[in-house]
Amino acid sequence: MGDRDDSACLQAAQQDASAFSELYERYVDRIYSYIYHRVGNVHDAQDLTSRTFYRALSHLPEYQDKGIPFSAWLYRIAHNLVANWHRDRQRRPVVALDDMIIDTASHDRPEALAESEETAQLLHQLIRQLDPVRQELLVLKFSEGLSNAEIGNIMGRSEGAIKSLYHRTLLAIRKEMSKKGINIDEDSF
Amino acid sequence: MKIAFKRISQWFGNRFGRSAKSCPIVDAPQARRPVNVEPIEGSVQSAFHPIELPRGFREALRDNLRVAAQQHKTGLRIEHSRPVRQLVWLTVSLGVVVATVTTVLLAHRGQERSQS
Repeated sequence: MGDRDDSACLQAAQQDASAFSELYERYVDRIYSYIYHRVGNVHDAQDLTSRTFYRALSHLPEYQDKGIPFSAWLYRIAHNLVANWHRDRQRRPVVALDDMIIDTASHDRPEALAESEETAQLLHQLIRQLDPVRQELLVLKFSEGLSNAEIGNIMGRSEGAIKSLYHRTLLAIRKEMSKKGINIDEDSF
Repeated sequence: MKIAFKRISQWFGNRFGRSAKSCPIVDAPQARRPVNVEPIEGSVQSAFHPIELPRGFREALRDNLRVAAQQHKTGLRIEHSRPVRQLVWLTVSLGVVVATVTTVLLAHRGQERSQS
């Protein structure tokens, strides 16, 4: 049962909604992680994760595999809900990606620790200042570990466009970091 | 005739092709050194720590989804209350009330005028 691929699970869930729990178990961690990094707080991340799976469950009979895998479809639902969430909160200065705290336990030298913390803080600020599309790309890439093709499926862009945007985003981050006097090439995390 | 035409076109090609190469109007773009983005990737990667889903939440949502799936089976459907939907209903109801009152008032006034 656990080794079944997505399409088999999906078929079972489309015939019998109670089989949806297997798909839920497969994706809940990834969807929660994605949403958490996009909204920046536990409460809203839990709320939006629930909504994502409720919506997926109710729209499951309408899902057709037209070259877009189920995971991408699920991420799209989450993406739309997060976009609505951001739209609703445009008036309030919501700070996303707030709790991305670097794991500093592995550092031995206190000065290296302070340096890397400072760099990490700056990096967080820079990521927060990026436009939502670039932020989403970074979350999907680094938090979810998706390939360019998978990200393209979710964001509705070609693989080449994602690759180019990714490259430009990294260069923009590096440029901003060096403006602030931090040369990433020499930094060791 | 064909050969002559071919030779003339060849000569033009060689002549202008060569001159274009020898004195280009626009500077040919310099070959760029590929930028190594690996260090930046490493830095950004370290900023995204793994997120752990709270266990209680995971179980509660799984149970709720199971109930919702059962209700789907029996044809029932849970609809969450949405403030927007409530607002639409409120606006429509208010509009109907205002329209009714206005119609009654206008009809009444028209009747009074016709009597006077």
